Formats: sequence, C-alpha cells, structure tokens
Amino acid sequence: MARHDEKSILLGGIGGQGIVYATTLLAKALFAEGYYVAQLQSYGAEVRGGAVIGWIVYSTQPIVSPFTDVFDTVLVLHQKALEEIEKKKFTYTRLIVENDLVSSTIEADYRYPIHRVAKKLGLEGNENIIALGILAGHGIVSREELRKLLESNKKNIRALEEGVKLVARD
Amino acid sequence: MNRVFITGNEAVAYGALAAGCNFYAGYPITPSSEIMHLMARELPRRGGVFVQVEDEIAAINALIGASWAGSRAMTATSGPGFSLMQEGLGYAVMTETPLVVVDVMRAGPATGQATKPAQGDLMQARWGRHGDQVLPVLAPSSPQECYDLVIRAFTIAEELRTPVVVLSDEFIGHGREVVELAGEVRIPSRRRPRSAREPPFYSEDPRVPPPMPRLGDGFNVLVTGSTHDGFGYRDTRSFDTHYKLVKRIWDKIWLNRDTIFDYEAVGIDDAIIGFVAYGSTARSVAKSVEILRREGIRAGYIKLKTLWPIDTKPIEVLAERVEAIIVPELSLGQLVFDIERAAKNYTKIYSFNKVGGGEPIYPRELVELARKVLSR
Repeated sequence: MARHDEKSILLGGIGGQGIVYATTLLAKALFAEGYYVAQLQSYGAEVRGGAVIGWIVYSTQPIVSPFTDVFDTVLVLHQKALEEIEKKKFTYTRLIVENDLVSSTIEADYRYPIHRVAKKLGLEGNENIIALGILAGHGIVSREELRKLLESNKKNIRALEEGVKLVARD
Repeated sequence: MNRVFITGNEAVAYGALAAGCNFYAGYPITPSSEIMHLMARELPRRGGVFVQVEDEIAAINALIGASWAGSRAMTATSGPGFSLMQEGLGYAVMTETPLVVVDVMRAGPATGQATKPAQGDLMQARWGRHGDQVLPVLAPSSPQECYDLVIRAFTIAEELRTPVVVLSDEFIGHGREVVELAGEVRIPSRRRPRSAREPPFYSEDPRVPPPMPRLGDGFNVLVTGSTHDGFGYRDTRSFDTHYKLVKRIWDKIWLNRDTIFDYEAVGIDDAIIGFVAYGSTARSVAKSVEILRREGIRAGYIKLKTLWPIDTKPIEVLAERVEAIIVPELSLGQLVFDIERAAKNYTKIYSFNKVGGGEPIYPRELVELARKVLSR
C-alpha cells in the first residue's frame, strides 16, 4: 500500500502573478512525462494582491488523495503566499523563494531574483514561467515538456530558459 | 482507451457526450460553468442542441420537454440553481422523465461562498421536492468518476425512466487529474409503446418502467404532474389512483436499489476503525487509511458512489466489526445520520466536519482523529 514515489509541489504567490496558470502548466508537463497527476488551486475571487496557491501531487501510481499539507517542494513568488502557507500549517522539505518579494529573514533553501531578471530582460509578466524554468533547472520537471507546452509564445520560451539558467548559475 | 488530463467538470461534459447526451439547457453558475462551456462548444458540432436559458427554472423545464421529444438531456448547476430546479425535478419524477442534473456543490446556504467547495446538498438532492418521491443520487470522488458516473447516470435515467442527480463539488470540478476515456459507450434505448393500448404510465412489475411515448410520434397522451392513471388521465380525487402511482414510482427506484447502489470497501475485513465518506472527502479518507495501515493501525473505509437509494447493510457489517466509525463531511453533518441509523449502536460514530474557505479535510486530520478515538 505504500507509495514511496509520491511527490508534492506547491506554488504560491499573489493574484496577478499567474500562479494558477503556472501550476496548470507544471501539472500538464508532469502528465506528459507519464506521471499520474492531481492538480488543485485556491479558486475564487483571488483579486490582485491576495494570496494564491496551487498544488500538485504526482506519482507513477494512481493518486490516492489530491489533498495534502506536506510538500516536497514549495516555490513562492510573494511573502503573502508564505504567510498563507504558515497559517495553514503546511510543512515542506525544500523552499524556493523569489528573492526580493519574500522577506530576507525567511530561511529558504534557494533564493532567486526572478523579478529583477524579468525586469532586466523585458520579461515582466512572465515571472511565473521563469519560476517553472527554476523547477526544470532543479530537475523536478522536464524542460522539454514545458517547452512543448509553451512553444506558441516566444517570450515564454525565453522566460523558461532564463529560469533554467538561474539554477545553473548557483 | 484515451488517457487525458482534465478537470472534473470537463470529465462530466465528456462523460455526457460519450453517453449520447444531445440536449443541454443551463444557466452558468460557479463552480459548474465549465461543464456548460464545453457543452456549448461541443453539442452544436455533434448535431445536438445547446440552449443558454434565463434561469435554472427554465433549464430544468427545457430538459423535461427535450426528454419527451426523445433527447438525452443534461444540465449542470450549483446550490442556488439546484434549489430553483427542485420544482421541475419533482415534475420529472411524477412524469417519469429521464434526465441528468449535475450539482457541483459549493458552500451555502444562499449565495454562501460561491467559489468554495462543500457537501451540503446531500439532503436536498434526496428530499428537495415536496411529496412522496425518490430519485437516484450518484457521487463521484474524482474526475475519472465524474466521467464514469455521468455515463452511469444516463444509463439509470434511461433504464428506469427517471431523473438522476450527480453530486460533485468544487474540488472535483476544478481539480485536474488523469482520466481514461472509454472507447465506446452503450446506453440502453428508451422503450417506446408499440400501440396506444400499452399504458405509458403503468406497468405490472413496478421494477420495470412503462414505455415512454415520444412527442410527435402520434400518441395522444397527456403528460401531467397531477395524479394520473396508466393512460395519463388526471385523477385528482381518488385514493387508489394516487397511491398506485406514487407507490409504483417509489418502488421503481427502491426495488432496483441493488443495481443502483454502488460503493467501494477497502480494508474493512480486519479493520478496528472505519470511515464512511463520499466525494472529494473520500480521497482524504483513502489516504488516511493508507497512512494508518503503514503505522500498523488496521483502518478501513467505505466510499459511497451512490448516495440514494442506499443499502445500509455494508455499513451495518462494518459497524459490527470496528471500535468506531468516523464520518468526515464538508458540511455540518448530513451523511452521518445514515451511518448512525445503519450502525444500530454496534459502535461509536464520530462526525468530522469542516466547511468554508476552500479548506479540504486533510488526511493528517483524520489520522490524528483515528488515533485519538482509538486511545479513548
């Protein structure tokens, strides 16, 4: 009955950052890799500025429950999402944060200046895709499968590659 | 088999299309609207009819008309819309009209929290109509079951000439998971009267529905929500006609309970603690049982895929074996009444309730409760 290969990822941010879209893309890429995937998100009037989370459970076997409060990886693009996660008492193994929008007092495993990079390279609005590139850089998801999902938009492809590069530079 | 990654709402629409649904009337409401979007796109392409009506009262009544005209009809809604459909659903029961209503549950009452999941419509799905009536209620717990159970809903609707309700919820509706789409689905065709001598509202064997004439085929028959005899003539005075009619419609569902009732039982043979749940909550239950078993605690669960009519026997058997049964629900507790009744004081029943804010019941919460209950 044990399912040792089950993994979970949470993406967090604020309304307008494209968290739900990024979660959907990530889930679709994992599905394309052949995993069983369950994806959910905080759904509602998540207006610009409010915390938004999306989460994924994936495994080589059918997903028992899409509901979990224990995550292998948490990636947050905004302090407010981290506060939401703490309020919900979620636990996680690896924390990846946006450097400038998450308090420097937070002990993260990885910090990346996603917004600064986006601004410098004219990729504003594509920060969520840079975040996916970071996950690909960490080997969590296939960069190729993400590329296939994003190929209709050149800016997104660039954002993805910049994310991968951020990890390579570590 | 076609393996896809879709939401529960999309799975509902694909299930309906696979079942040959060719009529949809609806009014958009969160969190069900995606079902309507997909049907609006797909039905006209496939020769079907899609109508966006002015409200849910119009939707349910359009379905009844379409069904009498020979269509396989479905609508989807959420709590407030489902409330508006109750009168029409009662009419569909009384006129024995096959149709499928999907309620993607959200937190109520009233407008409540429109975007947040709940399981508060269970009793309304069963008892929302006035008078003596019964209709089958099915409950999927995943997008795969949305697909499978909508197909099953159409099968039951056609076989028993009855409206069927499918209770989903926001988590299932907006959650994306892997779904295996069936290659080909065969839904039984509706039996039609061979001659005007065959009564369209009476059958010798209550388990078998009478044949249903189609509007336009030349059968001169009145379809009415008032009490009627076997040939459709109104009789709003006599005891015999009324009792015979409502009892036959009631028996049509209850005497077919064995085929309508469906559930899954996991680990109950040696369980010392049991869970009973349905819908998205049943997923957390499955996970918590897995965790408890890993810890050496013999847990088991029953997942109800049919919520009405239910057979309480499997729950009674579970109650005889275990030290306690936990009934988690995304409501203040409705299913728990059935479980208490079925358990007949054999064991202790614990209700676990959470509703609002988009908060699921987490497997960890159920594991902790199970440990606590067993240490008492």
